[in-house]
Amino acid sequence: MKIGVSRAAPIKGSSPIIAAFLAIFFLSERPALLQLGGVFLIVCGIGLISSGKTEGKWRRIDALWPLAAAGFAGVGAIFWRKGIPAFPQPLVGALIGMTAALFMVAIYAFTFKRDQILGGVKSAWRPFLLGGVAGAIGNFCYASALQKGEVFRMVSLIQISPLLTVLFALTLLRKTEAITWRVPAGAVLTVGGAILVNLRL
Amino acid sequence: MVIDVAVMFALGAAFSYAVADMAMRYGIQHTTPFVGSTIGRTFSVTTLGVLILLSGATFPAWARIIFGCSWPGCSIRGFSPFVSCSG
Repeated sequence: MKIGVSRAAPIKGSSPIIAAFLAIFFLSERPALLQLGGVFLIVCGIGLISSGKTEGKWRRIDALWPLAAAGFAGVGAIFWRKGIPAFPQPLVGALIGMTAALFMVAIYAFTFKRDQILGGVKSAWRPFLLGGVAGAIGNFCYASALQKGEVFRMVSLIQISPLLTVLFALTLLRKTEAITWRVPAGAVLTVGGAILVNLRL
Repeated sequence: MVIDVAVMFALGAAFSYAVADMAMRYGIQHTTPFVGSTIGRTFSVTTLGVLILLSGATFPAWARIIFGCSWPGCSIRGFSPFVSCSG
């Protein structure tokens, strides 16, 4: 709301770069230069897809919000990688992570939005049921991916989800008016980056 | 190019997050982000809980203490007789 989605999303999408650098420093991961180039291409591609013209004035300081979100996403991936070996199965790790997230948002919702909860549940439980189930499977896959692969590689691949969201919107909702040069160009950069980051060198 | 299990899980996560994103973008038109997020995460926790019951996944000792699952009647394993496909 402060700076607009088309400005916030590309900044937030920079999380793989932050995760990659944190992984180099704290997990001693050693990505090749070409793989780091792949991370950069994915971030550029997602940034291109999710950016666009935004009306209204904004303050530069408000760009710190999506930057903080990207930072927390990067730091979160490092914590996941460090913590997941403590669990016999990643499902349990995913449950504990999701429960912690639920507590955070539930405390805020019950403190400040209590009067809106019942109405929200009645009017929107179906899409949130689908979203919740898909999010749970996503979290399980996220934990499993970070258990088995390097952070810089996994976080970059997971970050391609905005590209899939755009493709879903185009195919399922027939939002063809949303196709600008940014979508195919961003898709080429993202897929190219995903290939580069997974090259065995 | 490396296509290992980790890559498949990462792509699975990207796909699932995209589906969740689509659903929640639709749902958020009917409520506030925090209430919507609370509803969505409640369903997520429930889904993961059910999957753990079905798979018979075990908690590490410290997690059993945190979740209050350490006493026999409430242990995840304790539910396994009631779940036909548990191991």
